[in-house]
Amino acid sequence: MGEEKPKLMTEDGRRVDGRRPDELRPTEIEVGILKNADGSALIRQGKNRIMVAVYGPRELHPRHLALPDRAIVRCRYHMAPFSVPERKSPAPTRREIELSKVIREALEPAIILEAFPRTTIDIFIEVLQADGGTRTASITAAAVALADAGIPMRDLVAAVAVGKVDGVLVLDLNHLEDQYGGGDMPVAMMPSLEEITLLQADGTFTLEELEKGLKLAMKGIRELYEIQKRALRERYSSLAVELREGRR
Amino acid sequence: MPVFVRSGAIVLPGDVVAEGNYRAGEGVMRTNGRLVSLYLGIARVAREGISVTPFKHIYIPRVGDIVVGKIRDVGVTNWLVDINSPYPAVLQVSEALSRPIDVTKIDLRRYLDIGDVIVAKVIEFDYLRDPMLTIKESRLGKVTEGLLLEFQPSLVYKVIESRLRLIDEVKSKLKCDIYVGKNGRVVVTGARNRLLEVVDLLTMIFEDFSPGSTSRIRARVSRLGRR
Repeated sequence: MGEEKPKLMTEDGRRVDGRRPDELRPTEIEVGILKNADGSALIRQGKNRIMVAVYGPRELHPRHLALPDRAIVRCRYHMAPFSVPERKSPAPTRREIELSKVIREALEPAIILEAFPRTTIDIFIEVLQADGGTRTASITAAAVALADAGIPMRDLVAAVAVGKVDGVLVLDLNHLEDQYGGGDMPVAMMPSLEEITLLQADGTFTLEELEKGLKLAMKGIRELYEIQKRALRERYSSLAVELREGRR
Repeated sequence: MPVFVRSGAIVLPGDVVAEGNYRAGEGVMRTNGRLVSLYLGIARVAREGISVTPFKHIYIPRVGDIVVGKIRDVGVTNWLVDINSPYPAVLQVSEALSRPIDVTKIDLRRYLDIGDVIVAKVIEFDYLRDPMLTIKESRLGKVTEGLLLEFQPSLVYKVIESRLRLIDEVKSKLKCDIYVGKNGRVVVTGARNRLLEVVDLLTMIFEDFSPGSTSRIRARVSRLGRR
């Protein structure tokens, strides 16, 4: 990437897109956007657009993958060819396969898998437009889609990355900050239970930075948690009204 | 020991509904002294405990349940039945026909073919094997005419709890038969030209749970006979 590093932080502490270091990108979640799926959600986080569809619990084929005491979770993270400036081949890359696994493992602890032995819960994540932090945005949206599908869960899962830009800890990295910044640490949590389900890190963090970074991530996660809850409530209060007025 | 929700409030997975010595009902889990909702649904606070009814219910068969199934596949000695559940059901020949037949000579499609609708009872299910059905009882068997409706299985439980008498009344006044499957499917037969009225009433009975709805529906049902 022989390009020169852009200026990521202004003198008065604003970031490339004008945010303060501890500010999330504007985030919206829409629930129930796909009729055929059991549960679905669309997240807009900054320039990211990610669609999630959840199917199940349903019969598992091939049968030999089934577990006798609980459901399995299958997860596919995929980026659309048009999601990035340079066309991305639609075939799953190494990165996408790894992210699928990482996202699945971030969501699994929240799902009550023991309720549905021998079945599968399938999560399809389609990145329509990517601008950094798609794994965390995918987790946030997938948790909402799972709840929408009526799957029992211990808690929702919300996720955000913290990173280091010109020596300053910042919340919710965008693509530029991720590319040229000095570190990136995605965190996923079950906010009510205060349990971490995903913690990765790229770059170098001192112990002090790690602690501060985690605190910052938790602040972002709590904000995202409220957005998730609001999205679900809105969807279902309008549905509840429809039911009451006999329109359905 | 506070309760944090009112009856009828929308709750989400992870929401703390109460703290302390309350009984955790359906859809509620106890974790270190707190009662937490497992589902996106409606909370219900009662003397017996606090429960959450999910908006989208996933039907899990239980022995004794009456279900409405669709034949999905025909085997040599059994049928595979879709019962609107993660677990497909199996109907053995011995649970469908009154006398044994020679399965080497007779094609089971003669009795039930793919797409046929049956009213059946769950006689066995333990998660390790797929549920087994029977149609060898009165009011069970193949549905040859009528209309199939689908509702949320959780609504069926509510209806069975409180509105079965309304359904009986609709049955006798509109001269039809109604089979309510625990899996959310309902079959209406014999209503003739008043079928639309039956569907209308059933939709209200199954989906309208707003305050005062029961008496409103009851009033409509009792008006039926006076034409």
